[in-house]
Amino acid sequence: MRGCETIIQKALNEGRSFLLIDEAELICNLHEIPTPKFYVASDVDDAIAKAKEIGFPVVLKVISPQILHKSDVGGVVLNVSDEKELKLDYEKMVADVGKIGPSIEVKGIAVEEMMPPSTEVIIGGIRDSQFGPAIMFGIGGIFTEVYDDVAFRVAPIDRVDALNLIQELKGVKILEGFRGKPPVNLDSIVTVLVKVSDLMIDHNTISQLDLNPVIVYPDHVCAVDCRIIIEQKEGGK
Amino acid sequence: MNLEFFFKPRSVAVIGASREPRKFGHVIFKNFVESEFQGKTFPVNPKADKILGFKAYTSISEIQSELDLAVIAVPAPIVPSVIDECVSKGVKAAIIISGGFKEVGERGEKLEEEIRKKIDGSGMRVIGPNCIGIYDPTDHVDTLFLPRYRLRRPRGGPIAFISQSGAFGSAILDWAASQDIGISKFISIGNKIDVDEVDLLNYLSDDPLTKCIVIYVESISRGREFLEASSKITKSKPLIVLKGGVTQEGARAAMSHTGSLAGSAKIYEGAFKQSGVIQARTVDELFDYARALAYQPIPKGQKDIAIITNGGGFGVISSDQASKLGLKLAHFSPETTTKLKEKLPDYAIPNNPLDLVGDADVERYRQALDLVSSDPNVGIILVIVLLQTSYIESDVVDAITESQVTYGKPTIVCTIGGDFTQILVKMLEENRIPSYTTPERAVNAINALLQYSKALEDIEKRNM
Repeated sequence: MRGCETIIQKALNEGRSFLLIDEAELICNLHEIPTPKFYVASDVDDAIAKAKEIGFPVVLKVISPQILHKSDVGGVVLNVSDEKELKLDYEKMVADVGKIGPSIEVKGIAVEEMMPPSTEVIIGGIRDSQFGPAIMFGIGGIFTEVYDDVAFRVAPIDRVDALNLIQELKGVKILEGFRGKPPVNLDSIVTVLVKVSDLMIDHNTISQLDLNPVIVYPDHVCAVDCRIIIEQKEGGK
Repeated sequence: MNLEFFFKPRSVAVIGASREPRKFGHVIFKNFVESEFQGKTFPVNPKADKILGFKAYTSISEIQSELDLAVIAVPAPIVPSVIDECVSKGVKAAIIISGGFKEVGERGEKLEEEIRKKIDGSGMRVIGPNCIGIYDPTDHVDTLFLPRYRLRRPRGGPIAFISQSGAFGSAILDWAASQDIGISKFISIGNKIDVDEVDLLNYLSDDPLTKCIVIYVESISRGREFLEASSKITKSKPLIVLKGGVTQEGARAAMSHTGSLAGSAKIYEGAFKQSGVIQARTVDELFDYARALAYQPIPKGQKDIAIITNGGGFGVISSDQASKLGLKLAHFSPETTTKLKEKLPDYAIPNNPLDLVGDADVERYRQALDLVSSDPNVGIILVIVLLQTSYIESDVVDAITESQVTYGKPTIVCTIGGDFTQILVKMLEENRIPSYTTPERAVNAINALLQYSKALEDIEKRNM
């Protein structure tokens, strides 16, 4: 997709190795991967106005070309419930991030819709030295972290591959409805997996990608955070 | 270019054919001379006049007739010049048996590079170096440098076997021969300077004698081509892979969570699954699965398993293993249950597993097999038959084979024991009924049948 490649090339030209959160989320949207509603605010008043438009509670995320791991440095605040809280959180975030060093440049703060909690999954993309672009799927939390319950397919994948990939996980029972929880919509996870596969195939400049977490509901899914690592490719599309 | 000249050469030169009986070149030449190989054979050795009564040539350029295949067993440093001669002679295919290349480090790697340049664009295909080459029981091509009295050659059969490691391959061949397992072709690919597993898969997909393919590899050189070739071949032939050398690619720059979770083993596993490849985890599984998949029909529609046994314990362990793998045991139809009650003694309960009890004779097996196989609720049959009891005679093999042929349902046997059992196991093997020594192995083999069946269903789904 042309729009996506323009975003990636601009970042590469600026010497960056990853996309800013707003760029990454835009790429998701261009590939029809659902994300929360989001806006980029340039100052605290702007942020309040955007939050009102989205409706509280909201999420704040720092936008900085020097910060890849946002939550490690206080660059993400979840569940901001009103105007007063937003003002405090916003100022604290700018201050915390500023403490890392003088080289840190804050391009703005993303104000996003706070998605209600539900089962979380992780969807990823990488480039393997043997097989090229590959897609990962895992269930969030301890299943991925402790039990290493993740599985891969080589891109491109179709819906049959995607469903097999999901059903291969030991933790699939969590998705099928567990302890009174309703089953989630496997079909919409399948759709996102296929879209991520397309994305990895379309843009060989994307070397690694995390949709982590993707929150899954009985009727839809939402990728609430996205990380896209990029690299220059000779003769890249 | 086609790989046909490796398997059906009209003429073969063995370069490095020696007079010394223990030398590799001698054994290889002898294989061709003493077998029913139909083509012409030429020994090449500048230091000898005659080898095994055949005129020895100083170099292949002296050989008048055209050469389809050159088998090269000379020290590594001489190989590049031999390759030069082969190319200028117009040899169609060469197998470099010699070691001392990439596997020994930088010097060997340079030699390999030199050879690669010589064969690039020459039209000559090359297997090896650092391999034991080919064994083809149909056309009697045998480049294994291991004497026949030490390494028995398996008979012809439906399984093609590709091994990256020569030692692994030869040990398995010897074992396969001892078990009466038939091989369509064996290829050891060594350092894969030219021909690799992808080329061979493409060739074997059209080989009418090969019904099932087994591969041992440590690395797959062309991942995406492998995926393409295996996706194509598994539509018609099962492919079982044992992937050795699980490397942790910790060095991958893990800027992402996905990167930190991506081990090469997991990606191989995914790649195998999506292309319908059955992955074996152990050496045992490799041929356990191959025999089931090569000999038995692939389950379709009804897939529930019936277990018939004359030993209660083996029945219980089988059913445990089935449940561990998520496989379903069949519920016999009321009709089957009624008939079983009629035919079996009171102390045999018509449940699944169906325990025919220790005094079961062949007739009881026959009746049980008939009733269970004709039950529409049963898709797959596991027959456990412990041959230590004096009630069972060798015609139990006929009973099992007949029921398999009559009802066409995949049938797997589990039996373990000494000499008497071994005789029956070989009879079963001859009849293409695979048997296994433990209930776990037998149920795992059933699982492999089901995995392949699922892969075929996925292909159908895609075509819909």
